[in-house]
Amino acid sequence: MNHKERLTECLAGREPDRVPVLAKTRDFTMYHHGLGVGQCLKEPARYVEAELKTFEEYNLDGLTGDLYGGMPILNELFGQELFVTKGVDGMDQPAFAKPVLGTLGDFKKWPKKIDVQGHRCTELARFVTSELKKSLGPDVPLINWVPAPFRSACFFRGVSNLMLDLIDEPAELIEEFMEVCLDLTIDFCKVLIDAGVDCINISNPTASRALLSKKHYERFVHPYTKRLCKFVQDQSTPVQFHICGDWTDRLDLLAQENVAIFHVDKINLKEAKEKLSGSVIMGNVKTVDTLLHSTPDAVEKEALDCITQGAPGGRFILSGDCVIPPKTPKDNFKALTNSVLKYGRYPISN
Amino acid sequence: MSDLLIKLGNCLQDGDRNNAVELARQALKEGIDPEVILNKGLIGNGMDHVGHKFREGEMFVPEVLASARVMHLVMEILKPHLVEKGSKPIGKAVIGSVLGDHHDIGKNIVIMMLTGAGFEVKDLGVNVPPQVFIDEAESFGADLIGMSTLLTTTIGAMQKTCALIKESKLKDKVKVIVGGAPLNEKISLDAGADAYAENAGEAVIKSKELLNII
Repeated sequence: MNHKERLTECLAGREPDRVPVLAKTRDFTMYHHGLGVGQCLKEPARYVEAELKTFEEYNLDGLTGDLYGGMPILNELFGQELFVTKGVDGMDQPAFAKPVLGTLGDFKKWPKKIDVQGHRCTELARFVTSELKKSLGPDVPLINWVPAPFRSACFFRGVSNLMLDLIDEPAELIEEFMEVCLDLTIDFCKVLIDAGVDCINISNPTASRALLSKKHYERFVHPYTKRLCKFVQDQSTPVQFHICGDWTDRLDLLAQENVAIFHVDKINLKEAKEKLSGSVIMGNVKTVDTLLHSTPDAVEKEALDCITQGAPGGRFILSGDCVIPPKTPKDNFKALTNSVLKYGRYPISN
Repeated sequence: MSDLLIKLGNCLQDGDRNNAVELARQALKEGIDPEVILNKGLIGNGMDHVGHKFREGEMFVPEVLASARVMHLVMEILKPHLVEKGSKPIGKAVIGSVLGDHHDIGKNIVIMMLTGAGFEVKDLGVNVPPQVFIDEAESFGADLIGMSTLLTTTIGAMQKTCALIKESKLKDKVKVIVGGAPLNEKISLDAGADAYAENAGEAVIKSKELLNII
């Protein structure tokens, strides 16, 4: 099978020839190619070139080309450009942008229909997606990221401010704001889909149980995530949702959100497969404890544990539990991606 | 405990600013000692319960922020009276997100919880260079330095700050507590931190332990 066929079988709920493996490699790629975030935002072609080399070097079944993943990219639509600061080692840190809204109600001053075209963020997303897809070809799935509507809402308003808005502001105003955030996200998705993306990745760390009650999640997050994923699904494009943190109390809602692949971190893989039985489960070798800080043997052992837990019956993709840390030793990442060749051939029993 | 202080604590737990402020003013007017208003009303029947409920998953960040806002407003009313009395906090802390990290929500919740527990806390903000933690801790007279890091790319900043603290004149004077998603106990203690907290509630418990506060 080629990579696309393998993932297609997996998404269809069938056992492919072996367990697929995917990873979010942006930070790892940049570090090992001596690139900084600021440089890549200005010269995205260098990022594209580096990610293609990562794909060639490691046994991956697709490429996640999310140059701006996790960053407040849509803030650029409102004049707040992404900026980069340096860490202690002189390395660029992930770009950030200032909030856009002084009060929640300020969104009503935005134009009725905000055009995402013609902005740097949109051109960046289009360029990275189309250039990567051109080189990868039809048999290698390309994944790129959009902020989930609630994530954008947090970026636009500032997380602490929006959290207090959930207490202070009328629910109808918050819902109206979420509609605008949803529309913007859908328009941004259209750009990626038109540019050739095969899968849209979303993440929503500010909506987990660590921050939000299930009640707030159900009213102000769930309907908009569900509708976004439905839109993407209707374009024949699967959604991969990275659920960072503790989501255990709202798995029933997640199961309704039209998500094809759940990329999990701390949840037990068997439990995830049971509770999210309509989706593929992806994960969850520990990226910090194991990939970053341990040995290739330890990585391989943990990968085998994950495969043993998650792979039987299909609907499983091996990955780290989060973004691959930049300083992850190459041998450790190789151990992860090669483990499916050693242990991932179907049939796999419990 | 006086009925008034019970009501004050309940208003804090409910995030009811207006009634809390009125009750605090009334308590002062009735001659209740401001330290008692703080310790019994705001903390004992207020933030202690908020902290417990947050740890237990019964309260979440929006509600905790609303309670913390009540605490802050009432403290503004009590402060001149506490100063006049010569009241001291149970500890002093400077807290910030490390260099390169612009996330503030984790740090903000820890600050609220520590303030709610009776600490005086200076918020250093985000993207804080290592030396600034040291300089601010020294000028503030801090017993505790708290660092938040939410990105794997900023673990190095936490490590560097811990190393600088150990080399500075503060090394035997302040304790260091760290927290954040990419950390664990081993990474944190290996870096030179005195404690690692998995969440804001644990941060309060461990901070008190570090400073031998019962």
